[in-house]
Amino acid sequence: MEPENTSLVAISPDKHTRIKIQTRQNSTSSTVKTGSIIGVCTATIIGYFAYKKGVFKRKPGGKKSDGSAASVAEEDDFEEEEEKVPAPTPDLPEHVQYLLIGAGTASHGAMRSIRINDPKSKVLIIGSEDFMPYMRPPLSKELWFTEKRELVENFKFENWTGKEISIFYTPEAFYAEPKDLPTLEDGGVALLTGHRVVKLEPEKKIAHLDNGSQITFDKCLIATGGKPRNLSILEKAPKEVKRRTMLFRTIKDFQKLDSVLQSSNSVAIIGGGFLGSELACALGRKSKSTGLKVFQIFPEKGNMAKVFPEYLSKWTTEKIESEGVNVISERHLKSVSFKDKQVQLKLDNGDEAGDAACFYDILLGRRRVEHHDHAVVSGKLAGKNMTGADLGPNIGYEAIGIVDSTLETVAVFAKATEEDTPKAATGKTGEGLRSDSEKGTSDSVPKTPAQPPKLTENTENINVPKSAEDYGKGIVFYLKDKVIVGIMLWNVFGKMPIARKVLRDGAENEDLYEVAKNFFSENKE
Amino acid sequence: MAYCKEEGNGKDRVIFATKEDLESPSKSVIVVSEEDEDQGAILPNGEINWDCPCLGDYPYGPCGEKFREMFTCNFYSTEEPKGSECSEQNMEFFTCLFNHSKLYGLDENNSQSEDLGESQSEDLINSQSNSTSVNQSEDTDSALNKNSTEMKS
Repeated sequence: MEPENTSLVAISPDKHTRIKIQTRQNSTSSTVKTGSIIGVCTATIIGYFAYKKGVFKRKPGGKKSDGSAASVAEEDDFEEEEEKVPAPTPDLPEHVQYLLIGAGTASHGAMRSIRINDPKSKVLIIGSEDFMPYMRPPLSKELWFTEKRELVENFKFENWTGKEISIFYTPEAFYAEPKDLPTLEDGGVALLTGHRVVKLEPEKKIAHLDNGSQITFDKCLIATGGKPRNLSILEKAPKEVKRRTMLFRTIKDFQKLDSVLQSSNSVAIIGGGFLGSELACALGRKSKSTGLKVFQIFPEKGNMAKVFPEYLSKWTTEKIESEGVNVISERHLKSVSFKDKQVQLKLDNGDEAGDAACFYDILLGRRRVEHHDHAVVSGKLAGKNMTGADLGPNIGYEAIGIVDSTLETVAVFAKATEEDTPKAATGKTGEGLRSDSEKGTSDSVPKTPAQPPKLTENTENINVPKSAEDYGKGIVFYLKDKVIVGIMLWNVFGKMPIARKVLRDGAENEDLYEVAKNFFSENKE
Repeated sequence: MAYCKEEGNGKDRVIFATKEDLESPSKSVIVVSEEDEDQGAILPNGEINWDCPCLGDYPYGPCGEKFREMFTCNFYSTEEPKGSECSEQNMEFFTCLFNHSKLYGLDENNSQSEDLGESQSEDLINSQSNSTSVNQSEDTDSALNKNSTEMKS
């Protein structure tokens, strides 16, 4: 449920390698010393049942494995691993009731739903990564905030109460062996990792795996999720640059980046959307203790400019800069080279959009283009999908529906209190992650809300916010033809159900100030 | 009482208000009902909500069926003491937990499941009969309070 985003990260593999970033504007050039380039991209998760293309496509040709083990990457190198020969598959049953292709968040959610609605069901999940289903948000948030190495290396982080939370949805023991699935009296869930389904015969209900085995099913769900998209500039870049380029989405990507950053003095993230901004913030915060220089480069005027109305984008950019990020806005990546131990990023504010540098489609925006049917282009359908980000522990936002900054917006803001931060919200709702209740643990201590300040008698004396500080907490409605098609919750947490309801209704002809009030009422305890 | 401002050449309107303004009752037609909020363990119609995060992975884990039979029996029991006719279901459930001790055992490797202990489920069952025994542990507090409120209505 993240928007498609192109973010690139550049870091230096060692202290001696530097990147020179040249920008050309009015014949002045600026040099930014960073390390090698890492491409970091997010992918589109296409709704709950992802991957609408139907039959799973064979992975496009790329390096063929010569049968040997994956090439050993140089330390601190982002050398792409050669395609591994799939490990021998543990015994699979011949048939499974429910086959879930993909082992991500969508599959996990589907598994839960299936098991709850069909209590004795037998579910097999097949995932290409080497890991059990896990939550993605911590890879660009909590795992970077965690100081304790032994936690990070085990994909755990501490929530605000100090409790250790794993990014994995379930312990390993939750899963049964695939071969045992048919005989389990009460059904269960089995997991096969490190494999892909390469062909599907829907009529015959047969799935073919990458190692030649096959399995039949009653029902099959394709939830393979999206893949990061690279920039063509980087795809065509010289080897020395490509070695220092990475895309960011998976646990493995996190491990790579985490490892390389240990010995780096700088990193550049290209892309100013949800993931790029979240990651920049996380690395920016880290930079305060490690001295890492963090750059963020994108062509828009400010962070989140495609989603936030300009005033909010401006505010967000300033906040991200205050987190220690060197934000370089209004720049495209024009070219990339490696010279004299320097990776050179040439930036340009020209319209070299042929490279498609740094543009991203919000998932919903793209849908809007593809579907001409007006009925489909509404907040209703798009409202199934939610996205968001945390920029450190003090700013968090969630968006649902069509949140395109070119739309007309109406926003209602209140001054925030200490209560109104992602960190505080985590405690209140008892979730390990602010925006993610899929984990399903409840470990909160209910907090009592702070006492609101007394009302003044004189209603004329409302403090007019002068500084940007006063975008503490609020709601932004995105309107199309006077109908709400998208909602952004700014430091307002736990109100997604209300947002969904508002989106379904559209709130045409409503006083949006009154509609906004629904998001500020106290929770019934 | 609120102050309005225009940004972005009139495209974007911003209304600033105080918290009290915003917490006052809304005149909007959109009514947010109970169903729209996150549910607790008991649905508004009195049925068990197996989807509740407060029940952890018991409803959909390997012991899911046994858990549901046990929980359902105890929950709807009208005997005195409550659940006394459910010993078979209880036994089956605990046997299942025992057979999956790697997942539900009490060693440190299972810190995740450990929090969603049997005591939490028991409290949810017990509180329906307005039992005064309330588990004050950090893990069950919020779920319990929420569910007690709903059950009392």
